[in-house]
Amino acid sequence: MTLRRQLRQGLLLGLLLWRIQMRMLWNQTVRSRRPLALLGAGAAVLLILAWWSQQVFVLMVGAAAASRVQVPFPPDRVLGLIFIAYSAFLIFSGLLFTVNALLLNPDLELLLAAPWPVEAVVIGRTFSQLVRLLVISLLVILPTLILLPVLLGRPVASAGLLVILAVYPVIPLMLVTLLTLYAIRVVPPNRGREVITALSLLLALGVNVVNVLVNPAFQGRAPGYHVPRGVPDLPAAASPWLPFGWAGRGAAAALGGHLGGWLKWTAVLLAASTAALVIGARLGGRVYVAGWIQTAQRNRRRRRAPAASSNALRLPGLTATATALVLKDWRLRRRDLSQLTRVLMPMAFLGLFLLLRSRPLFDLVHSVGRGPLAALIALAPAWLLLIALTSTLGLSAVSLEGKAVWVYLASPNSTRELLSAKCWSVGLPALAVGLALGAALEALVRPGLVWAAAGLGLLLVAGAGLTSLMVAIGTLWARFDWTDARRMVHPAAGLLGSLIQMMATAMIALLAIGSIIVAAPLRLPLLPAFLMAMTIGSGVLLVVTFGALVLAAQRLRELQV
Amino acid sequence: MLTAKSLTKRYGALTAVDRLDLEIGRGELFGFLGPNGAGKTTTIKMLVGLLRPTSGMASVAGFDLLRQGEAAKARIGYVPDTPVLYERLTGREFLEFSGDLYHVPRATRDRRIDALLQLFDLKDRGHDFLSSYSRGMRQKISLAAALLHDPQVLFLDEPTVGLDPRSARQMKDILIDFCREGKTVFLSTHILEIAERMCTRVAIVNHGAVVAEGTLDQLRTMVRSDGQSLEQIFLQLTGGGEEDVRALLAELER
Repeated sequence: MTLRRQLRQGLLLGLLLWRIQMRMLWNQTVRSRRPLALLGAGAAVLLILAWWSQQVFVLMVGAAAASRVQVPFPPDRVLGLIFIAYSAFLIFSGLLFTVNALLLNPDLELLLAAPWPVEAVVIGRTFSQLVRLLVISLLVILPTLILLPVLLGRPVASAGLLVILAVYPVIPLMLVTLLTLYAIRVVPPNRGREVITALSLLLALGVNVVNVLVNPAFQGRAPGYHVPRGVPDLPAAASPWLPFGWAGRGAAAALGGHLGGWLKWTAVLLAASTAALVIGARLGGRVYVAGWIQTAQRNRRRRRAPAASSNALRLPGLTATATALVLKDWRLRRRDLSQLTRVLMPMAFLGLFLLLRSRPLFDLVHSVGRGPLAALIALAPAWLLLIALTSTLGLSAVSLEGKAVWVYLASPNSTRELLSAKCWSVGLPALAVGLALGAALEALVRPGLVWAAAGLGLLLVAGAGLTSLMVAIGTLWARFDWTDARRMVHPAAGLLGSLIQMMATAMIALLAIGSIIVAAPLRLPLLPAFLMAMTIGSGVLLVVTFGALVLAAQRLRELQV
Repeated sequence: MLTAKSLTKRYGALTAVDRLDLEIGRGELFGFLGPNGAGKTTTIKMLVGLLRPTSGMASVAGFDLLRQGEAAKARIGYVPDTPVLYERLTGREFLEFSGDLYHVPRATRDRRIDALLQLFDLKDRGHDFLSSYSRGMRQKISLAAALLHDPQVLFLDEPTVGLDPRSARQMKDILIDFCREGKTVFLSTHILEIAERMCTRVAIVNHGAVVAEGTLDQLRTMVRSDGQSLEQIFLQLTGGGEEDVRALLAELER
C-alpha cells in the first residue's frame, strides 16, 4: 500500500472517529436533555469564558507594563521553554492515550475487523488525539493566540502560531505511541494504566520533596525572601536541532513579523512531523496487531490469589453480611493498584512532610505549653490524614460495587445494612490509621494524659461522623459504571465532600478554641467546657450525618439495575 | 410458588412489560420465550426484585416482592444474562461472599462451595481471579452462587449462552434435578430446542405481553396445528413466520 493512501485512509478514519466522539458528546449533553448534563455543559462554558476573560485582562495589563520592563531573555528561548513544558504534558497524556486508545478501548475489535489497514488505525487514532489536543489547547490559550499578535501589531501571526500548535504534538505523540506499543510486550496494558498512575504518584512525590526542600516558604525565610527575577535560562530551549527549538523559533518569527523565519522553521517542523507520523505508523502498525492480540490473550491469563478462606477473618460485632462486604471491599482495594495508590498517597505525602518538616509544628506546640491547645494542634496532621482517607475511601465506597451491584441488590439484605457495612469498611482503616498517628503525636507532644485522651476521643467521634457523611454523599452520587478509581467519585460528590470537610474542621476548631477562650471569663472548669463544646459539635455532625444517611438509603432503595 | 399479577413496567412512553400474569407451581421448569426486546429480561428483573414494577404485583413462595422483598429474595437464586462479577475476587472468594450475603452458615457454605466447584469443573480454578474466567466459566460460577443458598426458585436469563455443549448438557441435568426436588426454575432462552426438551410449560412473550402460555400440546392446540415444532409455533405467534423470512431473503437478493 502506498504511503499516500495510508495517510489518506488514516486521516479519513481519524475524522470518522472524531465525528463519532463529537456526536457522543452532543448526545450526552444537549440531546439527552437531562437537566444536570445541560447544567454541567453551561457551567463548563461559563468557566471557559471566565478563564478567557481573566487571560484578556492579564494580557492587557501585561501589555501596559511591557513598555517599562525589559524582558531578559530572547523570545525564541522563552517560547521554546513553553514548548518544552507542553512536551511534558504531551508525553504523560500520550501515555494514557496510547494505552486507552490503542489497547484498551472496547471498539478496537470493531476497528481491526473493519476493512482498514492497521497503519490507518494507528494514524486515525493519533489524528483524532491531535484534534483533541488542539481543541484543548485552544480552550486554554485562544485569547492569547489572538490578542498577543494584535497587541504586537501583527494580527496575522495568529494563523502562524495555530499551525505550529496543531503540528507540534505529532512528534512527541508518535514517540510515546511507539514506546508504549513496544513496552506492552513486557507490561500488560490493563496494568499499564496502573503503572502510569504509580508513575504519576512518584512524580507528585518527587515534586513535593523538591518543593519542601527548596521552596523558600518552607525555609523560614519567606517574608523577606526575594524570588529571582526572570525565567530559567536554558540555551537548549531554542536549539535549532530539536522540535521545541523549531516550534519556539517559528513562533518567535511569527510574532516578530519575520515571514521567512516562520516559513523556514514551520517547514522543518512539518517535515519532521510528517516523517515521524509515517515512520511511526509503519513501525507501530507492524507491532500493533501482534501486541494487541498478545494483550487480549493476557487478559485471560490465569492470575491466582493465595488460598485464604474468609473464615479466618472475623470482625467482632459485625454481622456475617457486613463482615463479608468489608472483607470484599478491602480485597478489591488492595488488589487494584489505582485504588491502593489513592489510599497510600495521603499517607505518603503526610509521612514525607512530617519526616522533613515536623520541627515547626513541634515548635508551635511547645510554644503554647501543655494543655488543650497543645493536644489539638498536635492532632492536626492526624485530622488531615483522617479527612483525606475518609474522602478517598468514603466517597467511592458504594461506587466500588460497580456493575456487580446486582449481586447485593438481589440478596435478602437491606440497604441500611449495605450502608452500615460501607461505613465500617471505610471507618475501620481510616480511624485506625488516624488514631494511631494521633496517639503517636500526642505521645511525642505530651499535653497531659487527660487532654490527650480528650483529643483522641474527639478525633474518634468526629472521624466516625465524617466517615458516615462521606459514605452517604458518595452514595447519593454513586457511579456504578466506572472501574477507574478516579472516575468512581462524581465531581459533585467531591465538591460537596470537600465543602463539608472544611465546614466540619472549621466548626470543631471554632468550638474547641471558643470553649478554651470563654472558660476563664465564665469561670468554668476547662475540661467540662471543652467537652460541652465538643458534645455540641458532635451533635450537629450527628444530625447532619443522620439526614445524609437517610437520603443515601432512599437513593439505594430506588436503585434499579 | 411464583405469581405475577398485571405486572407492568413502563419507561416513559415505552411499555416494556404489559399486564403480565403468571402462575407457576412447585417442581415446574418454566420456559419464558420471546424475540429480542420482547421484555424477558425486564420481567425477570422485576421477579427477582432488581426492578420495581410500574404497576401490578409479584410474589415468590408466598412473599410479596415489594412488601416482603428480603424474605422473597432469600428464596430466590438468580443468574443474569451477562453476569458482571467482582473481577478482583477469586471464584472461591466470590462464592464465600455470596454465601454470606444469603446468610448460609459458614460450615455449610464451605461444604457446598467445594461440592459446587467440583460439580462445575472449577475446582482447580477456585483460587483464580474472576477476571481470568471465560464467559462460560463466569456463567457457571454465577449458577454456583445462585444455588449456594439452596433457593426455592431459580431464575436464569439465557443460561446457556457461552457454554460449551458439555457444560450446557451439565446445566440442563442440574436444572432437571433441581425441579425433581420440588423446586421451581424460571428460564428465559432463545434456544427453542432447550425449551422444547426441558420445560414442563412455556410462555411466549412479544412486545411485553404474553401471547401464549401452556404445555407444548396446549400451544399446538392453540395454533390449531398438530405436530408443529416449538420453533414453528414461536414464529407463528411472534410474527416471524416463514413467509416473512422468504420475503426478507427475496429483498436481500434484489
